[in-house]
Amino acid sequence: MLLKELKCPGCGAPLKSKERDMMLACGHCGRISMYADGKVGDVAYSIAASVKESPGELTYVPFWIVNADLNVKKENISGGKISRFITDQKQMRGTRDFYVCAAAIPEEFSRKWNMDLTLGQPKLDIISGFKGGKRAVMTMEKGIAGENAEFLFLRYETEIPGTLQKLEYDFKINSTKVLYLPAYKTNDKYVLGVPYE
Amino acid sequence: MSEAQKILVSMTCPSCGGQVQCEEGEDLVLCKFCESAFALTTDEGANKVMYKMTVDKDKALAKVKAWFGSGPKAKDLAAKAAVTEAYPLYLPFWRLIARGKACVCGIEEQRSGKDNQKVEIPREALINREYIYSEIACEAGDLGIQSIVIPDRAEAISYDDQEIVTFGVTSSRDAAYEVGGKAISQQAVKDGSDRMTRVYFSKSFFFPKAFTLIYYPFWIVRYTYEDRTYFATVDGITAHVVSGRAPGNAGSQSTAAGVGGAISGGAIGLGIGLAIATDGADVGIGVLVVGIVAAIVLIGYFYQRFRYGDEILEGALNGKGLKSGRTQEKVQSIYNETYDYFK
Repeated sequence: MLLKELKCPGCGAPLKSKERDMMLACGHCGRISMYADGKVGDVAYSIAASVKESPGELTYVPFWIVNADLNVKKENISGGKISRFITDQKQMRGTRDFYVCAAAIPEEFSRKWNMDLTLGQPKLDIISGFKGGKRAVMTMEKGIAGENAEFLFLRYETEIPGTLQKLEYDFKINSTKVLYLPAYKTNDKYVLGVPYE
Repeated sequence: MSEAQKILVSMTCPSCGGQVQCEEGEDLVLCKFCESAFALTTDEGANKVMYKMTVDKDKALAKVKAWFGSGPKAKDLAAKAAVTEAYPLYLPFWRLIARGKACVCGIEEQRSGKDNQKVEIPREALINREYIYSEIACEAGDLGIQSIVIPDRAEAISYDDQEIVTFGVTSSRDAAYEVGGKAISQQAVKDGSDRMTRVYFSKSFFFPKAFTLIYYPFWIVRYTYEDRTYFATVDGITAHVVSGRAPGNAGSQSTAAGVGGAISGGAIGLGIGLAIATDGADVGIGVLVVGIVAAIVLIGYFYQRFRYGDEILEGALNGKGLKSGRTQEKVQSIYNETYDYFK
């Protein structure tokens, strides 16, 4: 086993980090590059502005945004029709962005965020820097973001009223990119700084 | 079981000379002293780790002697067995830690009501939990070891092939990874369909966290009894006998045959007697049929004990012999941080 030093793809300076973050910032030129499969490379990412301030420390949480075409060809759900009608259950169908939290945030928050953001498809104000806050560490690799998005769809299908019995669908990924969303952290609690419900 | 314990291996930082901890499955390594970032590279695309042997030869032999006296082995085995050799051996295993996720839908059949009517209850399940898959990576079929569970107290050290006696790895990394991932996905579906009589839909995924080639220590103890050679394998960390062959108990075989014959004969005799006494009434014939069926089952059971009772097999050993103990499964579920959902 060997340790190979990682260098900034922009300026060539050795990369340093206190935390095991897939997004490594160069201390020399400030460029952020992504670590994957033993290498660092260029990465495009977006940052959303906070529009809902809450008490706590502002932290920008990385998400994989998986844009995919979801075509449900056949579905059989036992029961729950009335409940789905009364509650005006949102549909997870067609082309949409799937939000997959890529940070080591407690699952009680990330599970809800992933579902609500994917169903809500929020309108976001994109800004150029991590204004007034710090980045949360990214722990999820790009390679597994797509399957996590697909599982999110299956989770949705089982969590809606009724009992899923049969399902036939196509899940085609168009693109996968990084988006940082603002969140406010107090102790172990997180509140998102964007409207999403 | 707690969360899968990750292996930690210490290495020297090429930048500052400080000690860096490499965690199983993490190829991005940071030095806590100079904060330099490194990629951990390996020859075969998987980290190699070996565990420190903590059981000495005397303890291994003592455990094997205690094992001689357990189960239906030859009564005089402990007294007559002669150990011919005992040596340490490291066996390679592929180990995959992954999150297994599955969506499973189907029905559960139940019987209810006065008429014992069949009722179909729709079921759905989401499985989201951690699994560990491990499988031996060499041709060691005759040792009867197919998988391992690493004890909490095991100490991982950097692999050094100069220090150990081991078998060569014969299965490829990619094949082992694929098989391991498939086994975890299948286990997730199986866990989801626990209550289902029929499954109509299932989809599963595995999200790898670590993939490692592990060298685990054992003691191989060979011994003779009545001019025949047998063996036992002792875990080099827990000191448990994990596999082995031993002569069976001849007295137990005769008893099995005798008891089996007597019970079977008695059951059929009772049936015939009742059939005659009741002059062929339904109840007498019924008892006779039940007696014959019971006798067939008993004869089958005792035949197995008699036929294969000449050798006792411990662990994942194939061949003729009476199986003893439990074979370690290749996939283990880790229930900590589980987000399963059943309906």
